[in-house]
Amino acid sequence: MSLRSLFQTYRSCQQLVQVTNLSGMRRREALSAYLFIAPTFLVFLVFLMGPMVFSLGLSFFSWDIITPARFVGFHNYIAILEDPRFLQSLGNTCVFVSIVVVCNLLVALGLAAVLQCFVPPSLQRWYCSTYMLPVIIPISSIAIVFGFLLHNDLGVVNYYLNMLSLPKIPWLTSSNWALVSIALVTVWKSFGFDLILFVAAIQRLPRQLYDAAAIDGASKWQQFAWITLPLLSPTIFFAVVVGLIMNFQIFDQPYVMTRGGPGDSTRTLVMLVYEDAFGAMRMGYGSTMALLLFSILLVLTIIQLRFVQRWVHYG
Amino acid sequence: MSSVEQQRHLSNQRKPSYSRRAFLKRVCWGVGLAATTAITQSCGTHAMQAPNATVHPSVLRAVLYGTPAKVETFTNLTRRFERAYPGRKVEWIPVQAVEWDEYFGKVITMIASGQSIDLVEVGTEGLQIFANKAIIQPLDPFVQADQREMYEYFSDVAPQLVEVMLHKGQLYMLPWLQGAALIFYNKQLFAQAGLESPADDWSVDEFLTSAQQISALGDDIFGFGWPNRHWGGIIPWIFVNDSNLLTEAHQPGGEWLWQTFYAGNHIAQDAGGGFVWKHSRANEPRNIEALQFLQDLTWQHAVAPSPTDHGQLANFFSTNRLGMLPAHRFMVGRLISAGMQPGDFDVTFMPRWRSQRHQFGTSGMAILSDSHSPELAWTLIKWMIRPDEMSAYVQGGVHTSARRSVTNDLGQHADIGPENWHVFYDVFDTIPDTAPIPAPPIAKDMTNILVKYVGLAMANELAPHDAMERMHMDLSDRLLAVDV
Repeated sequence: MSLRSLFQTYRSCQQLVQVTNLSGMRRREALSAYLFIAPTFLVFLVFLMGPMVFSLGLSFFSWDIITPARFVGFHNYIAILEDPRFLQSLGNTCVFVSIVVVCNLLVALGLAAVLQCFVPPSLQRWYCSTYMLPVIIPISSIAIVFGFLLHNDLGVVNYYLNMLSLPKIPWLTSSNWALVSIALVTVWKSFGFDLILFVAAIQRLPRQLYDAAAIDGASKWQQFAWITLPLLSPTIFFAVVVGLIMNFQIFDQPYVMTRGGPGDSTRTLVMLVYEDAFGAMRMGYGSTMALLLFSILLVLTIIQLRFVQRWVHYG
Repeated sequence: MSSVEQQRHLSNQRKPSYSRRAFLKRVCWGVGLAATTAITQSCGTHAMQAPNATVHPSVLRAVLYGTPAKVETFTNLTRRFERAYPGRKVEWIPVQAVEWDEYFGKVITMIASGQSIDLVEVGTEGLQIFANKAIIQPLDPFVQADQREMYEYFSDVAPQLVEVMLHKGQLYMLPWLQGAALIFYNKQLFAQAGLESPADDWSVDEFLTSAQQISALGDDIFGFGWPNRHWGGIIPWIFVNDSNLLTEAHQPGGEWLWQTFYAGNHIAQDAGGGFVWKHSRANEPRNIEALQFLQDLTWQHAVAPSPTDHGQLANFFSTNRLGMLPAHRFMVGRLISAGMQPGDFDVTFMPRWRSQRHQFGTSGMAILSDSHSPELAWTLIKWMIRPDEMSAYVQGGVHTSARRSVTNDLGQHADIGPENWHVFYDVFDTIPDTAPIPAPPIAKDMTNILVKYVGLAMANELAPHDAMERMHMDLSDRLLAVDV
């Protein structure tokens, strides 16, 4: 979101400069337009751009909020690169994002296709609403409930596994499982959003392409692979970009379910930023980490935008 | 050139020549200058010195650790206070958090943002954090001025609770609530397992036997459950093994308080000007032994589930799937709310190992250094520590009062239990070496490190020896970096 806003602001600035070269009437029109966008621009400047620039400055200071800040140059940047917790948290975040984004896409796309092919339109809305329900439930509530369900010894899930003579799974108490469990809970919570996008996009696809393919003898799978998927590429692109940005900011689930443990196995970047900045009161260090997270997201988005034309078809 | 073109040309000449690049450059300079000004202006103490000027000195703003529901319980207290002091108002601000350390971070952020606050609830874990940063002010002048009034209060409060409220010889809070980790046990499961109620001086072996017999009742029944956290986690077991996670010493100072209010009290003889926790002792054999004991409960004896929070523990306990858990009186209210009857559970001391030293935490209200009305804030503190007000607050087993007379008041326990309620205060009066949880100024970091390595050991991914060694290294690093 912030990236988009940043881009919009840049465009606004560009256009503002052009205003000075316009005729009187056009200039008045343009100024009216800018008056309309001014509130949004101000909110962006005060609540997004301002704190971002403030964070950038803060990253060169050591500050505990209460006592005066001390200039430390690049010390925070150097310390972060030597901090094993940062590298582990970055790794955890990347693994988490990969699992959630891929699973969300596969589950949502698969279900959307199934709904489109096998479920009558009257029931599709009901299914979509049902899958959308977890999306609107507060994540902290979900995390608490799943904390109960996935408890190693007294949780319901392991109870049923035991009834089926299957071994207990240490969902939240093993370094190997905890991050995967949190990712799966997140997929359960969030795939409904992607599903709605895909169902809406599939419904708008031109029927004549499928009719033509059917006449040519294409199977359902071939139709899906060669018509549906390419035409859904803009939606997939949108879902991937939004998914990456949202999930890189993962905080609530590991914070409530595992507090980052066992060890640091579920500690994510945003958790680390929060713990350092507002727990240990190392604001400069926390700001530096936040900036690095921002840089990672920026680079990822730029890469995606660069390669978008290779696989996204808007026609 | 046509007249129209000439006009446009002249018009363009009159306009300032802004190129896109120049415009963006100026915007960047402006934002950069504004940010630099903001950082240099706000990264200091001025925010603390100049809070909201519109605050009326007769209105006290007090921050509490808890939910808005907690504020509701203060309504009657506030009403009585405001009736006693006409024209004075109290505004309670609840700050929700999972743990004390998270609460402290939020409160410090509120204070730094310039919010006008007069009083703040602080627990043991946060006293040195707040005092070291001079966020809160000592109560010494107030207590000394009201010495006669204060005799009654201090005679009713255990000296251990008071000493932990001192730092560098100065008193920062009057203990209001307290909590020593005790063992709550499920009487129904004890009866089903053919066990007698544990005696107050029971041993760790008896504890283990009880846990094993309870666990034998069913696959999903466990003898003991515990949370992996600062208070009530591994620390009580380290304490009963006659050790501590950090070196524990008394700070110099505080004589004025002990000689005035506790002269002749044998427990207060060694008391000083507060506690100091300077070095890590995490890798000492007794601490490794304590972690080994807890790991064995889960992985060898299979009598304890993986550590979980008090909410889940209370749920498992009240549904007869858990035989014992560590808690203080707040658990009584939770268990009653969960549907248990007063006779379904009871409480006893931690089992004796090498000692029966207990750990405790306490909390009170501290006056902020920049309070507009420190006198009025002190008046409210005195009001809150009145026996009747404390009694009203802890009614229903929601907490444990720091006052002996309130905690030992039969009326507090008659309807809700537990039967053995005397341990709530006997833990101070009959076990004089009961001591506070280690709470240096890096309490937040200490908790993170503690929870991390205990968690790895409890996941059976680190041997207790390795876990405590690594914990020791991390704690030593962090303790070196601060003035403890």
